[in-house]
Amino acid sequence: MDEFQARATIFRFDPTSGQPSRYEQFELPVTKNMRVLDVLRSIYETQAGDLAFQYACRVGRCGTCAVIVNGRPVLACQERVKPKMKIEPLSPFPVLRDLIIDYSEAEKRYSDLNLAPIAAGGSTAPAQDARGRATFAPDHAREVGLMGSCLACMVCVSACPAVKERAFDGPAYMLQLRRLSEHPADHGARLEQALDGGLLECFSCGACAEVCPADLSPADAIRDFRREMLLGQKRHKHSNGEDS
Amino acid sequence: MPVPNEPRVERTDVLVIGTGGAGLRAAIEAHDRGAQVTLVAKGLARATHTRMSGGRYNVVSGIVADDHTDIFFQDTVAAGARINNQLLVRILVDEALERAYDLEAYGLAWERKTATDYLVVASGGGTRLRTIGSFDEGIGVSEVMLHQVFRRQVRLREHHMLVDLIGDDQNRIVGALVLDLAHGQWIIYDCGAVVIATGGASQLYATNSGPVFNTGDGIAVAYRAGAELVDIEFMQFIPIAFAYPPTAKGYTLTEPQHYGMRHYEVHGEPGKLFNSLGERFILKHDSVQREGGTRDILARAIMLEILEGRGSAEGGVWLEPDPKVFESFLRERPIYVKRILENYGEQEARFLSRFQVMPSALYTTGGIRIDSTGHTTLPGLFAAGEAAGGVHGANRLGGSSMPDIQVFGRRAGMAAAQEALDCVDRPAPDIRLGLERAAKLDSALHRSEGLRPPALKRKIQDLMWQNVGLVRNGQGLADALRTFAEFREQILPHLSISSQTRVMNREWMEAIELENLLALGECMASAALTRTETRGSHYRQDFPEGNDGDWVANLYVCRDDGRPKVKKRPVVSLTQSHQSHESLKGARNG
Amino acid sequence: MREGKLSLPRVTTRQAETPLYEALACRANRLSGILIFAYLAFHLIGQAVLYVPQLGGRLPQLLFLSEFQYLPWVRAILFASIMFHCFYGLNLMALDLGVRLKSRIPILTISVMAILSAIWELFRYGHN
Repeated sequence: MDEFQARATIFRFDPTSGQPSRYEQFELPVTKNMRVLDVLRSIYETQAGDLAFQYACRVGRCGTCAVIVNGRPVLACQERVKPKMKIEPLSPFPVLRDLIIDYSEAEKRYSDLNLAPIAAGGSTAPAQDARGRATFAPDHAREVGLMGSCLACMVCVSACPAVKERAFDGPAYMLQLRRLSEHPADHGARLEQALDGGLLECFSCGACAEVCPADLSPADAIRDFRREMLLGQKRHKHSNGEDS
Repeated sequence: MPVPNEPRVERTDVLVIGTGGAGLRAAIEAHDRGAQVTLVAKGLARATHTRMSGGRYNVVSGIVADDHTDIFFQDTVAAGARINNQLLVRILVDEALERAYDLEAYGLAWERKTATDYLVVASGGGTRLRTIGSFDEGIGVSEVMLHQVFRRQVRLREHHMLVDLIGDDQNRIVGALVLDLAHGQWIIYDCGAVVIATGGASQLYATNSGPVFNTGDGIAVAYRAGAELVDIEFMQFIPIAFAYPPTAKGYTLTEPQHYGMRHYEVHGEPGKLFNSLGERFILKHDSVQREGGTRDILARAIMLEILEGRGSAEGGVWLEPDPKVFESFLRERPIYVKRILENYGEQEARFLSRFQVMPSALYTTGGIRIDSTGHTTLPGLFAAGEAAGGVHGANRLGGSSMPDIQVFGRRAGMAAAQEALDCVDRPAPDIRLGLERAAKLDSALHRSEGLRPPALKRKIQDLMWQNVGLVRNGQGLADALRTFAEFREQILPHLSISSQTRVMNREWMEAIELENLLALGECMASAALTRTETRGSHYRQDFPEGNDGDWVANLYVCRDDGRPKVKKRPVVSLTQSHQSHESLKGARNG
Repeated sequence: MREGKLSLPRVTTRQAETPLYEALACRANRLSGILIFAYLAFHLIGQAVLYVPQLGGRLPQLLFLSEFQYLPWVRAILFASIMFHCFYGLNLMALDLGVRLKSRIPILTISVMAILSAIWELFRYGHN
């Protein structure tokens, strides 16, 4: 196994301590296939037992370990180790301690969007036509399913240049609105919600798609919404034959 | 030095602990029945085992002509080596379809073969095709359910860890002591019912497939409060998991049959397993189902090869996938292909090359004893999901956990709401015990000599893997029990913690978890020592055969004078009446 | 997944080893837009000061702008900016209309075209 010495420079900050934030440097031996999360765990176990960092699944499925490494937002459990790593909490979120951020605002935005299928007529009770295998073409189900594999990790929101300077919720929210908009059982005003969330502030730069650890493209979802807005078309018909 | 915060008391009708599939479903159901629900998660709401799951869901949907719920029942009991609680199994197979429709109504997109039919494939040990799934796997299940919770505006508290239950003088559960890890704030919940859906204890083992939070807290807390556990000696090991890198090590690669034509045809060839001598060793154990058999036989076969020196340097064996199924595997499980690509390489991801696999602790088959409504042996306490036991017997069918958490999560939520709304005039919890416990755990923050929590955790994990893992024997189990007692008496009271910060103090959290891990390790080892036979995932080298004469029975563990007491009782079969043994509503310890 | 018939998912374990070109391109688009406007402003003022005697009389210090706009490196920057801004905008429109592209290919192509046009312009003006 290829081994080398790595240096990790980690952001340290405890808001209850009254001390300003600082960077602490650690050195440790690593192997080539290790990930940044291994570095954090190793430092916690052998060098700094008070290091605060967050993770759960460590295989890129829960999305809770997002941090900034050398200026780029990544999942700590996915990003490979490098000889020099500067590790910081995910911006632009408030910091709870060290690398742990406060997701409550991010979650509130999800909550406010009502991201479960809304039946025709506005009822939010589970759609009765879902019983008995409603019509849902295989490719269509696949597209909706893939959009559902978004981890809500906030890496795209962190990378988005528009979020930093405009009133834009973020790419992740647009993607979830699009998932619902494409879902045959949903009749919510998803385009309106997206516009309210700042859809038009998006620069279409594509950074979100580039950084997504789940290999999704919020940028494409946003473009689909824009096309729908201008040209009125959806990519798939609804199961009952409607086209909007 | 910050002043320790005074515990805060909060009232709620139903307290649900855990935001995996079972907890979310329980919260949804309890809310819909009119109870005020508080849902707590130790970490973030998405940090659960459900999230990591492939989301495969066994169900008799009517699409496969030759399947029937009776056959699903038989497959489940056969896989469970006939010690499943048959009343629970009957409910599982009967209600799985309605719950699958619920998930679809929540927005989950089950994969389709045609516009009207689900895509139905095979899972390990099933005699018919009956597994459905969605492209977003466990992530999708977790997300759609979370959005249902958001829609109902259920009170959700993250970074809140269950530390203990609070009972009244008749052992009725009336509250819980919870630690808000984000602020180091103690909270005492005054509630009508508690639902434990905290998942399993895969963290007990050095190589495991679960999230770091699954330290069996709910099971241990229930045990400490006096609830009975069942089948706790059975830990399911997934036969194949990643062997490297360190982050992915132990993460499930599902079952060999998904890497071959067996995925589509009940008699097709599964992915093949080879040892370091190039032998297809499964043929020594099961030449009929081969690598498509149940997880217990497979995992044991692989472990034995490794222990007998025919494994790889990293402690694994090799899986040879069938390139013919790569296209469909990529279409159905793109997330898995990505993980194989990133951890192993392109040839492996394209199924053109063998890759290393090893067994890993996946699923806590036993757990808190429940009845068909989700009641435990303690009034006011309910349980569901991986934290509960009895549904799957000695070994769980792949794909049966997803329906389990939906079916029994809903039932537990329903019963908990009923309980909370019925008992309106109940006494408030005596908070003195809660305060004492909180103060004791607070003092742990101020110790600075002794072993650190991560070090003790590793010791426990290594000991469990060696002595209470896939291959067990009487001596090893007795040694483990002795060592656990030492840990409990000598090391645990003197754990040291580097910092006194109350904000997200991982060492403090781990110190509290370690008490739970030790309790469960002791329960598992005690039950495993008592069961002097081999059955399902419980393999005794000193008793390598199954003993149906004496051992078609379940072991129940409860806490007696601080140690686990093991009782053997006959299997709950369909022919028994509800009144006599099964229903635990209003039951006391017995 | 952005994939063709049988292309594998992307490997996303080395994100921090390259700059985020998409964000840089976005900023380059903004910068090139500003530079184009700046050039237009210089051009307008420079021409006005040159041909409107009253202005030229009052603001002699701005007369240099009329020559400034013909400097080779200024023209090179102008052409690079026009090339980048124009084709980046066309790229955005194509994406909006539904053409699915991996973002790095257009960014690379447009950047190369911009640099080449700058060199070409330098070459053209350098000979005068």
